[in-house]
Amino acid sequence: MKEHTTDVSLNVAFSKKNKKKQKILEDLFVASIVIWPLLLFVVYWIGGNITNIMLAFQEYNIEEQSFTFLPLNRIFTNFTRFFKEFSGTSGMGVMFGRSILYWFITFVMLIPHILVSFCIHKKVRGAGAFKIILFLPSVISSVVWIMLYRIFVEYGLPVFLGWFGKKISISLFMNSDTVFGTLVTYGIWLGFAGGLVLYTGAMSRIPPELVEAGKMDGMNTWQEFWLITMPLIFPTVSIGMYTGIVGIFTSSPSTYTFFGGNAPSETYTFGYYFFVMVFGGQKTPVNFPYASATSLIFTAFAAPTSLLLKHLCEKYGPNTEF
Amino acid sequence: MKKQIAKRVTSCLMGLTMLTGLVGCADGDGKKVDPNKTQLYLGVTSEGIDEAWLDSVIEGFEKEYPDYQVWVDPITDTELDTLETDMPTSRQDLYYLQNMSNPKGWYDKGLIDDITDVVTVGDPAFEEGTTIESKIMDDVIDTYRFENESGDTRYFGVPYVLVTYGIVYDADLFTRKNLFNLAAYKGLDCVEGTADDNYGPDGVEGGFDDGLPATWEDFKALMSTMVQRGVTPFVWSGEHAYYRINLTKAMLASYEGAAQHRLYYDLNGYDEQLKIDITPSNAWKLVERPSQEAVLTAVSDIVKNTKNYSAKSFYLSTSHLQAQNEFILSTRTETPIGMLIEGGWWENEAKSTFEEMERYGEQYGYGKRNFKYMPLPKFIGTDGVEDQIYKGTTVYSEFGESMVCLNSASSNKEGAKLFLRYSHTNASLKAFTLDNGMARPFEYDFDETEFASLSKYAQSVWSIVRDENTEIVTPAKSNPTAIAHAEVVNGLRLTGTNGTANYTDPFLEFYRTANMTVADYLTAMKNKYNESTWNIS
Repeated sequence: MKEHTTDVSLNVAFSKKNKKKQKILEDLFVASIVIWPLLLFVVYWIGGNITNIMLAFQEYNIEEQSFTFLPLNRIFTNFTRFFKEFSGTSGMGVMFGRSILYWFITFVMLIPHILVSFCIHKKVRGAGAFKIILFLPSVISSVVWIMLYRIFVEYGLPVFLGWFGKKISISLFMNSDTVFGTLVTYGIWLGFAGGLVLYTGAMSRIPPELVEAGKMDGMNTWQEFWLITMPLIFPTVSIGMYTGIVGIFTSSPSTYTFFGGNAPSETYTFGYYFFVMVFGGQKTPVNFPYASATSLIFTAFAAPTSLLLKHLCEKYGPNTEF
Repeated sequence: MKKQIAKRVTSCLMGLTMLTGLVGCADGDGKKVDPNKTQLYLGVTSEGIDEAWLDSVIEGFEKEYPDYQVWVDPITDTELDTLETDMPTSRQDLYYLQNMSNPKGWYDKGLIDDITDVVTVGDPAFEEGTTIESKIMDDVIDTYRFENESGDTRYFGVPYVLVTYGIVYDADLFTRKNLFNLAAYKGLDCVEGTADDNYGPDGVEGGFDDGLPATWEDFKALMSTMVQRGVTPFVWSGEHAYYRINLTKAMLASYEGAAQHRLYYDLNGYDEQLKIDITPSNAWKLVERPSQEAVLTAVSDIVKNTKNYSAKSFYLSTSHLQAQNEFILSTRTETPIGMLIEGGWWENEAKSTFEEMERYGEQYGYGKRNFKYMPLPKFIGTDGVEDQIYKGTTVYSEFGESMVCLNSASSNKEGAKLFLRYSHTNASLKAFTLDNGMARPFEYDFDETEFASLSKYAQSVWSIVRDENTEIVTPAKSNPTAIAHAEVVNGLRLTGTNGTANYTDPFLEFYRTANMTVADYLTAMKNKYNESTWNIS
């Protein structure tokens, strides 16, 4: 009996020790998984944002080649510069209009993205081929696509339009009236790839029994799309909608890849303008504080707007769980 | 079962692919790291420059100093952008860089070391009686040195490469189509039938430019004659605006001369065109220089007649490489192209096209054809344009700035300095030119055999660069205000604003706006830069 008791207590001790060891191993495993993203988060998100906020209240000291805080009476200089330029320079206003237009077009393009994804999801005739064609931009370098698109626009399109008696006298990329539209068309085409991945993925998660039950009740394809598919993928669509708001200030139709730092002014969006200011050919530390202040202004607009849109989507959008 | 086998095979292949990245530390020639030797690493940018010259220099150095092994780490454009951040942790000891900005700023930030001892003190072990300092061209030397608080001259780097931006012409075609010594040329005196009609822009008989157009009026006659004789005068890159923009800047420099052109960089000095002192607070007045109007007139003259250039010159899909190809290959077509707007590296960059073309005959191979660098014509006697005062020749060398420098974080500074010395001996400098056809901004010479081995284009560049009346124009800014406001300062040359439109490329604006005049463009420049918009002091 005593022996048995000793055995049990030994087993308990061993088991406790084993559990402790297992716990340590588990913790180490979790830590090894979490530590790297956590580090990235701390350095690039928290650190990056703190630096950005501080920079917005600084200026570049030319003599010392360093950033120094602005005196209190000029602390908002970088912010006021944006509003001055926005209201005083007509180019900024047009740039804003162009940014809104591009964002709006990408927003409207959600509809064809969803419809095409639905067709592919339903495996309509030629869906496989379309899937490959539309998915190709995701797997082939954008530089290659841009080269192909340039050649198509400047060599193929004139021949094609020539069959209908139309003539292009100036390359659409060089013509100030057509260059932005030409870039946006590319952006729309390229955007299909991302939309396709997102929405076909969401649609593939729809339980087939739901569709089968609907069909038994006489549901047609349009009703399936409207009554089952749309409500069930709405959370995915709505995320795209409200996170896309920030695109007004950050996106451009691959302008930098097409033109580098020397894009014609007719193509400027906020995204491109501020990108070349801090990264491209026009970068200079003098503008960094201004760019930081502008990013905070944009956040002040985009963050509440995104949250409001999120709230509206959750409140008025279809509430589905599966 | 088949699937499982396929999975295993795929996994093995992927694993092998990954392993290939780990195997070695050997270069393409099978060179392997020798743990008994000290390793030196060179960070080298190579836009248009062949690195083979370094291979031969490294080979010589490793023979001379068997304790060292030297490796080249190519630096891409993207890596150059972040090099400042990466240098302190980089393994690279020495850098050979093109297209960088603000070299002195790197020294001030402690990224690169003072190398005065290597530059100013000779070492008989390398070359008797010379120093690197004594060989650097006077026009560029100030970029790499400064005076410290005690008044001593210190060096933080030496120049790497001399870029020659401008017009390349096909001299074979010029000969074939009788485009030299045109009867319509009037020369610098602007009088037809006088002795200087065919002396070229330097106005001297027997120079490197005889038979070429001396003035812009002569150049217009050349373009017109070319068109009449079935030659398309120009092709250039539609994709990269900076080729066109840099030609306009080269034309400005050619009108103004190096010293006066430096006002755009230094914002400090007497302006001989405007007859005023320029300071950072009134530098916006530089847009009113007659030289700017002259260059705009020239660009308008070229662009407004579509027969003056290949239609593809304004295709975004025409990269610099495609423009080179069109230029090179056109000689066998019915509409050959006479001139190309390019940088000095173009012939080296187009080597593969020349090799490809050799299948039509040996005469088309690399270095066999007679291309030459064209000195820019003078603005004298052009209607509506003030005659230029400057009479010399300028070579516009803007491709950012170039520098050879020593990484402060190098773990082997002595070895790096040894290699730096070795790579600036006459033999090493010549190796660069013999391999690339481009010059380094140092005083060194070739013997006849060596010179003959250069391509005709390289020979023409060399002749101009080494001419005593030639001035080199580099973009180095000495004024901290100009450095900090580089984007504004760079805009002082031929950029403007018209309502919502920004003009940065006169070629493009004259092309796409049919009714745009030189006066319109000048107005746009004054809209952008005037007393009320200028906020630099």
